[in-house]
Amino acid sequence: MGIALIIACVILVRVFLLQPSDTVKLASISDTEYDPAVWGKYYPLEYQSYLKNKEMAPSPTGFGGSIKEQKSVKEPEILVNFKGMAFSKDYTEDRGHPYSMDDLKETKRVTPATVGSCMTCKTANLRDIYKDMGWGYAKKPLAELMPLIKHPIVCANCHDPKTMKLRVSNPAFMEAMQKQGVDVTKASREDMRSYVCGQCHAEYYFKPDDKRVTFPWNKGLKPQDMYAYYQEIPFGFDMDWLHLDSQAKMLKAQHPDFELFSEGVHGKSGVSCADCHMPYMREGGRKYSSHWVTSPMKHIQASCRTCHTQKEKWLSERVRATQNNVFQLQRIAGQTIARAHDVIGKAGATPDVNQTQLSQARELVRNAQWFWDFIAAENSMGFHNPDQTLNTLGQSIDLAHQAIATANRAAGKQY
Amino acid sequence: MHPDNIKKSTVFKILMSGIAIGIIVAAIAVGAYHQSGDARFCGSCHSMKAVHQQWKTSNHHQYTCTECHLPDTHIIGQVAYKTQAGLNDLIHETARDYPVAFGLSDHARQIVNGNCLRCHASTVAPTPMAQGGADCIKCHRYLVHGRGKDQGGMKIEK
Repeated sequence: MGIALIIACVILVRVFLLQPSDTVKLASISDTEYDPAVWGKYYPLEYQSYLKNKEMAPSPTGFGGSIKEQKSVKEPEILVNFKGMAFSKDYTEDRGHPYSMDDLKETKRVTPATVGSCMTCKTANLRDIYKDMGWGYAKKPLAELMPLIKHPIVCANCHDPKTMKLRVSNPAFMEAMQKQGVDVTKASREDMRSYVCGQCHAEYYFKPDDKRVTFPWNKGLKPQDMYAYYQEIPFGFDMDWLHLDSQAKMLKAQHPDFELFSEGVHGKSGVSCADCHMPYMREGGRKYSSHWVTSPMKHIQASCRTCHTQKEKWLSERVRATQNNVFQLQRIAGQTIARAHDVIGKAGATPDVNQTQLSQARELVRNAQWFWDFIAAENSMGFHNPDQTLNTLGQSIDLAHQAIATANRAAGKQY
Repeated sequence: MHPDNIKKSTVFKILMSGIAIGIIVAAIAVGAYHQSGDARFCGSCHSMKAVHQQWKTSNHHQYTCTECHLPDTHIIGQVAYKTQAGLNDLIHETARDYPVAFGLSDHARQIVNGNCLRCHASTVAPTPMAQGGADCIKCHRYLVHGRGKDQGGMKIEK
């Protein structure tokens, strides 16, 4: 009897009298406080989930994941296609935001010649550095800026400590959006839920003269739009590196997640990055946005099932089907391009080679690799935009075959 | 007093108070049954706030939760289902381990579909959907509970 009464009281109190709070008190955090642990004292649920970004685990679908391993183990064509540049030496799967500075320090791609622009998206301290030096920091040696950097990607990169409103820290993103007619300081909360991610998960290049981070978006966000932009040699930027075998002037794509997603069915339907990657979760009944920025496949219930009513297994199988299809074509594209570099290299060494056709072949492999790399460097294995991805890879494969045929024609024989 | 008389009057009293208690208990049970079918009662649970809010602005808000979510069957079946579902809700509401997004189980989906037909059977009858196997909420899934997308997240106190 007594026990029943106690149980009844507990139920009464927990269910009806003391319901979980739907609000959180706004804390006063200093403008220059970048330590996430300090923010975490006031926003514990968000902070606890942020700490899960330290987890190193394989992806549920087998693609991506947060274990630091060389991508070339699964895709050895990477070693050929990036010959002559640092990505052939060290190109690992990316880890979570808390590791951004560790990974920058550890990567073999960074040398004493590396410039300051490389840390633009790696740290919240960028805010103060940019405030002090403007874009001047971009040209300074990275080693000179290192002592100024105390934190990786933390709360302050995306949140205003006074209001907790979303904000963007990367000046290059603000400038690129300005050119598109968007003032990110006036953007809606819904748009900001993608912009805070898109400020870094995007394609960029360094302007040759001052090393400013620049987004190639003037002609649009599709890979062919950006290629057309790069073909105009913006600010004298004609290549990222010269390929060792083919001697083609190559471009390196960097994680164009925002661009691919924006053109896809979810992006066009108004879904934001955070809707799937930072879904609402509950802890003790309290609702919060997950700050464990990871594969939505780890929490399908929260990420997908808010809109899609199908079962988890069904949803996960759809994603796997897309990614398997994409990976298959990505491998074919990458391997065909690797062969193209080899054939062009041999054609180039052939006496009396037709130089016009040879440079056409180099141009074709540059284009083919841009399309392949746009997808290969992107983080969703095509899921952010499956139809466009397969189109891009299809074109890449065709261009690579054209490059091989053109090189053989230039040489007058079959390599 | 004759022992028989004592016995009779006690039996009578016990009988009468039994009936009285029975009526009171029955009244409470019926009252509780109806009260617990009230949408306001369902919406008073923290986990149900969002779906309750969505229902309130839907074009089916004249019907309570149980009109769609209780099986269209006899009273015993309904009471049994309600007890089972209610206990499940009570346990998770107390444990606070409910998720943000809800979905229907296969059984719950069948129940809802059956209730659609309680009103809309004649609309469906002349169509191929009446041949069975059709799932109303496959298409009309956002009819009552909106587009599932739960606005807001944690609010900041001013």
